Amino acid sequence: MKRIYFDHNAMSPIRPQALTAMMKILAQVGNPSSVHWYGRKAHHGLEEARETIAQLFKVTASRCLFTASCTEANNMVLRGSGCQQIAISATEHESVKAVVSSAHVIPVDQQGVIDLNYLEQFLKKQLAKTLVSVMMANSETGVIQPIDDIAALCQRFNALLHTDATQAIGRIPLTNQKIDFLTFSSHKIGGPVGCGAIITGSGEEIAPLIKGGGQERGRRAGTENVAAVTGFAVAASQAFAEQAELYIRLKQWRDEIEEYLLQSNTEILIHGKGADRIPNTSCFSMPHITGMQQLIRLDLAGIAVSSGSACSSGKVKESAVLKAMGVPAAHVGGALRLSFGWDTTHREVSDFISVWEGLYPRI
Amino acid sequence: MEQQVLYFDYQASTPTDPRVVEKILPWFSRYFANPHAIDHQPGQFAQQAIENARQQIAGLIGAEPREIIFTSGATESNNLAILGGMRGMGGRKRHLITWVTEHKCVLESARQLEKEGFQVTFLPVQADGLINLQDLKQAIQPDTGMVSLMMVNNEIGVIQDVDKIGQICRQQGILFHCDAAQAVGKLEISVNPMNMDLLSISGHKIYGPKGIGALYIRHRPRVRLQPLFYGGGQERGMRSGTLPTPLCVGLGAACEIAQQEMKQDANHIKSLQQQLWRELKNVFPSIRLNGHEHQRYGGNLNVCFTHLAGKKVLNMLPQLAVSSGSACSASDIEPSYVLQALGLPKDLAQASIRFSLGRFSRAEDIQQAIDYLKNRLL
Repeated sequence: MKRIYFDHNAMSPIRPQALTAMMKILAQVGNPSSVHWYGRKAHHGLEEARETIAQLFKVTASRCLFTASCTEANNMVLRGSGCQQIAISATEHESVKAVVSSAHVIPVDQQGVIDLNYLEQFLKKQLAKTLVSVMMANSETGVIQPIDDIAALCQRFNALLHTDATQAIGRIPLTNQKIDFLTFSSHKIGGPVGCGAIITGSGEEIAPLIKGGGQERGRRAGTENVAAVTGFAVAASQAFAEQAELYIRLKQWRDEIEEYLLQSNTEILIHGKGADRIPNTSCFSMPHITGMQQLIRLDLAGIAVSSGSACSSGKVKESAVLKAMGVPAAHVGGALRLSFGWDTTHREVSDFISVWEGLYPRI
Repeated sequence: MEQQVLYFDYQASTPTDPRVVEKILPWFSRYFANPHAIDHQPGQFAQQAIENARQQIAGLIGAEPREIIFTSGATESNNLAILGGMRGMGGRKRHLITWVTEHKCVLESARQLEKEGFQVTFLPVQADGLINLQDLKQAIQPDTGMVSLMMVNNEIGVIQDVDKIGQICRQQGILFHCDAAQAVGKLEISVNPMNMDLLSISGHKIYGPKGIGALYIRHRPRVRLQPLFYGGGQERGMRSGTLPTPLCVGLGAACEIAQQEMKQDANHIKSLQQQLWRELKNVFPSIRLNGHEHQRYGGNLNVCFTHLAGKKVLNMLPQLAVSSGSACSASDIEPSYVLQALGLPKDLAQASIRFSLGRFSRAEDIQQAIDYLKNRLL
């Protein structure tokens, strides 16, 4: 049987057009900071990519800043926004959670949605300039946060808003609300790995983490990865263009799998099912079966899924996201995440169901 | 247009070796999985490729694979080594020694440390660009935590006596960080006999891709760094963020090729450099070499057209890809701070040009460049 790849939230395969655009640049010489012809050509490519991405977010090019990853982008925002107080949601990615140890954690409900009342009460009490960092959609459960409401609260209390939109780009429409810092990653939308971006929607400044030659308007030093950002821009354009169509398709397939799972085993718990979710993600668990056992069985059957966020890994840790949602302990350890993407086919979906049926006969 | 502009700027950026490009490609397309998603085989496969690359890099500098971590480039490596190294000393040692001709990212990291309350000594260099060992010995204090010195200067190509520095640092219990972005793959480096504790590597200076670099971090005795950023805890917690498998593979491949072809490259480059220097002296009798005449990397010629003092010579040579400073600061109009540190007055610094040669430079390019220079500068 052909391999089934349901791990797009960890990494999407690169889109052919992005690959072609990138490979063309990869073979070319030239440091974009050099003033000669080769340098200017590289610089032109870099700025063209910046312009393309900026336009998708309806901002001027100077408000798009490239980094080497979304982890770096998140770190930059959390450390460099100039805010003295930081509030994050309880289900943030490690690259937000692990950055500022003094950050205040806003709880989420059982569906994984942030407690807006709590956030409001918190913001009311703040005297110092506050940064609120809430991801647009969760990487493990796919749960979408009410970013419009959060943005409105931030505006009301004069707080800055950061959203890690890595898992939302290309999967749901963007908000029209003011977002001061939006970060996202190239390799989750079919762009090359090794590239992330910060969109500073309101033109707020960010202090650099990496210093040196003054690239990226002094905000991020280091020779720019022109090839990667070129591919990134192509992938972002495609992701934006096909978002609406992809939403319908993936949601249908995701629902198909979930419906089957629920029918096949009444004990299966689908996390965040009661909330708005991005269409490509399903996170579920069965009690008394560890995620590891399932992963090994699925892997042997040629199915790539994950037990959560693919990070330091090596060890399958209990999901902090599910814990924060109050998922019963018997379920937390056994969670599996399926995540689809731009090249997922319906055949993969039906193949998955038949493999699953073989592994876990109906009870 | 492309054909006419001759590339003499290998120290700013090298082309990616076609063999490296070939190695990179499948890791972008066929084997794309997240190398940290080792829950499944595609992820494990990517992880193995990264470990293989780590081994290739370690092999080139005589290190162990576990002593290599990947970064986005030498700028990040230098930042991590200097900021992370000093911040990681827990306040016991608060003094850094470096030199005024270091790369901007080293100097800026050092200035950042000053803002954080650390003390930094910026030592001068001699008129030939080499450092003075006595200066270093005198600058060392009881709380000196680190010495940061580049092996090959990016602008003038002089090779510093890093062996000696390594010895001194080791005797005094001071960490030695070496920015080897311009030296790796070009000169023999072995971190153990050379007593290096931290060493920065760049991908796109050794025919690898841009956007990738590495930092060697000594394991015994262990060097501890505070990370620049936090997250998934990749690279043993020292550098979070998804590793770009294709770029890591590319850097590994570039290192392996460099190891195999170092001598061949060096001979090729040196003979071209001698040809270029000979011809330049012939055509421009008043030309001067910036930096030490012999203790220098063969791929660099930084020369001053003294008869054009006060003129911005770079601007007179649109058909040559050469530089007048390091690429990061090249967009600035200011004359090179490195040349000024050698004592060159501004008008001579402006009249200076760096030619840097590499693996794909050709003798006929040099002849063509000389003809062009004759036309433009005589």
